[in-house]
Amino acid sequence: MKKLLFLIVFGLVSSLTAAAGEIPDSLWNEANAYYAGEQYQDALDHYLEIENSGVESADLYYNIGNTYFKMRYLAYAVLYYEKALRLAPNDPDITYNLEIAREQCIDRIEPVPTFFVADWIRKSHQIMSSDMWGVVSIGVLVLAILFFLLFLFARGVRFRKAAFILSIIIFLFAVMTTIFAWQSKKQATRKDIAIVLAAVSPVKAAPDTQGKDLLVIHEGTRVRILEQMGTWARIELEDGRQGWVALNEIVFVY
Amino acid sequence: MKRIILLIWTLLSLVQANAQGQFTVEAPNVVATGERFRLVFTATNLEPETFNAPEMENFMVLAGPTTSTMNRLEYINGRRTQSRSVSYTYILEAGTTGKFMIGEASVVADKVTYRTQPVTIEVIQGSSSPAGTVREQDPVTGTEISDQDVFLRLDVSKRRVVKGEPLTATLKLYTRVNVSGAEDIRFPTFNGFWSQEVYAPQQIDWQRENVNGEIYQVATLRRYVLLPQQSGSIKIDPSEIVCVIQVRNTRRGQSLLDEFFDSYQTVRKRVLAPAVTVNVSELPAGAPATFKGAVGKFSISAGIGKESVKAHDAVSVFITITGEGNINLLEAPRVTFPVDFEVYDAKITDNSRSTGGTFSGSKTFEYPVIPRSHGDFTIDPVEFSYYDINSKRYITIRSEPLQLKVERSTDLTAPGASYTPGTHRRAVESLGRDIRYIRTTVPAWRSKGKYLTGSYLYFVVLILILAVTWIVYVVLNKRREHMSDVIRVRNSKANKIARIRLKTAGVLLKQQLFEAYYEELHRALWGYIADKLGLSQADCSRERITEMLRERNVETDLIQNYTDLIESCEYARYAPDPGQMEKERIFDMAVKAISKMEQALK
Repeated sequence: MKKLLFLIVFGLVSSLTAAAGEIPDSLWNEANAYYAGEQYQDALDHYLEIENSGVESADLYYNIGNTYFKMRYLAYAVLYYEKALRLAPNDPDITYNLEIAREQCIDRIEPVPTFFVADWIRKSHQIMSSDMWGVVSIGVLVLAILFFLLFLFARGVRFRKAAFILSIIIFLFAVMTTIFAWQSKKQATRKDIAIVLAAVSPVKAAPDTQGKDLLVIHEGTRVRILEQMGTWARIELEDGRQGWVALNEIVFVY
Repeated sequence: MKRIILLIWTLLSLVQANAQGQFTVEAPNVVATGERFRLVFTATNLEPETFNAPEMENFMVLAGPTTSTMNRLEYINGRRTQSRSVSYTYILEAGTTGKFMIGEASVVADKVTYRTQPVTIEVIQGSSSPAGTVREQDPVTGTEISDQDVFLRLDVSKRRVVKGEPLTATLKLYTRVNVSGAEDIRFPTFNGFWSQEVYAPQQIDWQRENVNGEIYQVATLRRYVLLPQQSGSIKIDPSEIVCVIQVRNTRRGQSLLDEFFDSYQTVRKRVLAPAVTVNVSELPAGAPATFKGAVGKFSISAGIGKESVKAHDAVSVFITITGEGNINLLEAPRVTFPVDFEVYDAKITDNSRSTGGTFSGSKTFEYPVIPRSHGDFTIDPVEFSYYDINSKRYITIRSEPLQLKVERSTDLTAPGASYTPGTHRRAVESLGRDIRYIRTTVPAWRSKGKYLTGSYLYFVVLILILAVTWIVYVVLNKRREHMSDVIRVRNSKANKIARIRLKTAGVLLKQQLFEAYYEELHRALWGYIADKLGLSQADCSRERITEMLRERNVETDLIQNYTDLIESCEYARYAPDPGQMEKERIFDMAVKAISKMEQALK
């Protein structure tokens, strides 16, 4: 039984870590050396080569973000910090650097305040990555089942009562963590977030170059895509204002 | 080097004019063909014995050498100076145009040979003026003085410079007429330049100079060193002078005397030097961060007043920049002191002089600092950048790092250490803000875009868990059913077995086999309760039985009675014979206890 559990957990963890081999490792070390020597272009080339080889990690995106930041490509820095946060939502370093990169962006947008319960729920999602939630939910589910079996087959009335209550509580936890796992996966794979890439990008009232300019947004600003039409995307700023921008002026975070 | 020695020698000779003899030559720079001029060799404070004439084969010697002697006696502030000079004068005439050299002449005095320097005389084509008249004293007739006769010129050494590059501007007055004085001089103003006068003579010194084939008397009025402070084409405003010119009167023949005595008239003429434009180009891009406008060629050195100092004692750090260029305008370089050093404003000592159209020398910045904590400190090398005009690029130089050993201050009451610990507490200051550094440990790579939740594996694991749970459930359930069957059988047979055992015990009692009797009785009691409670023989202990009976709400008295009975059976097996009565009593009690238990456990 123990062996089986071990096999399950081990299988889950190992399935997430790609069988990448040593090539990304050596590229990684070289890139870090270039970064340390302030040869940011070389560092970036190496990091991007790792990314293009089909593997990823929060640390990789974090380092790419740092490199872009040092090269003063703020939009890309923000983009990669966002990508890193998707894989490690609760990482303090990524949050800190993203904040610094945002501070250097031109646009300062006050987000619409959200209901505090929604905030709590969102924050509790972000304690762990989606995969970690998945592993935890399975673990908790196994625990709930064990307690339920204990309730069914144990002797002693009090013991069985305790096992029953515990199994119910733990089962609720399993349900909650499963929901969190799905929710944070949904957050991590959402395709409607984009970063403004162009230094200056006019937001139009209509998907048309002749459209009236509603706002002007600048590089590094985070927008939500509501719909796409041809080469245009209808975007919403964090403060709720909407408009149309050309698709080639933004880059999607995924 | 030779020049410097000569200069020093000349200076020395001036100081000791009495003692030191001198042999010099005096000749005009420029002469015209057909013009007669004087070449004078003067031996001052010498008693020449022989005079060796120089070679002057390109000139016609009209007269000479004529020797003349001059004695001079001077009293200056009560000091008597006597000098005596002997001069040898030639009157020469140039025949052909070109540049000719007059070789060195020498005299021997007191068995020492003195030589003159060779001089070069430029000969230009003479004008139509009759030979023999020396033009330098030739006043123009008539009141008409053209712009050609007298003009003012401002010469700049360079027309194209970069910002900060030194250049010289020389204001010269050229004349062909007899200028006796000047009035109302308006010197140029150099807007956009930093300027310094480097030559401002008290007396006008006339030189001859060839200007487009004409011989002019030239006076250098002022010389400036300029440092452009802004870029673009900068116009130097015209300067102006009013010359007082002696003109010979043209009206003649009134009296006979006029033929002999020329009458002169004073004419004033306003002379204007044309404006000069200097193109100042901006320094090229790519200046290093430490560049603050220094242009030229410099070196830097750093020093410290004391190598070792006590905390709270002041010490000076010197940064000296030596070189040539706009050194007098240099700003204090930025020195990065260790934190916890109190730094005061730099004291600047400028030792630069203007030499040869630029500034050279050194500039020292003295930083008074007070280290507030002890330890070994290194003051980082000071970087200084300048623009090298010759190689046309920026050069950054650094000083040596300085080491300072600060010892623990022992005397806090000393007047220099008005510093008590604790009073200078302050919040830790954030000096800068930057992103955090990259991660360097190799991360766990994962395939891009693959998530566990909702993946194939996830569902497989879930199904696997449910399947295992089902199997476990079924297995456990089967076993429990089986177990409960066994227990039920034992339960139902318990009374029966107990009765058989009691019967056997009764038989044994009658046969007087006491040990076997007690054993059978003990087994009846034990076996009954074990069967009733579904316990195996191994699980059976008095505590366990007590506990389980309590759970089934059996009266405590009955439990106590039952366990006591078991105990007394165990005890009696090894004890001496208690007598027939006692044995029968225990037998009855056992029968009663079992039947009571049978009722209680129903």
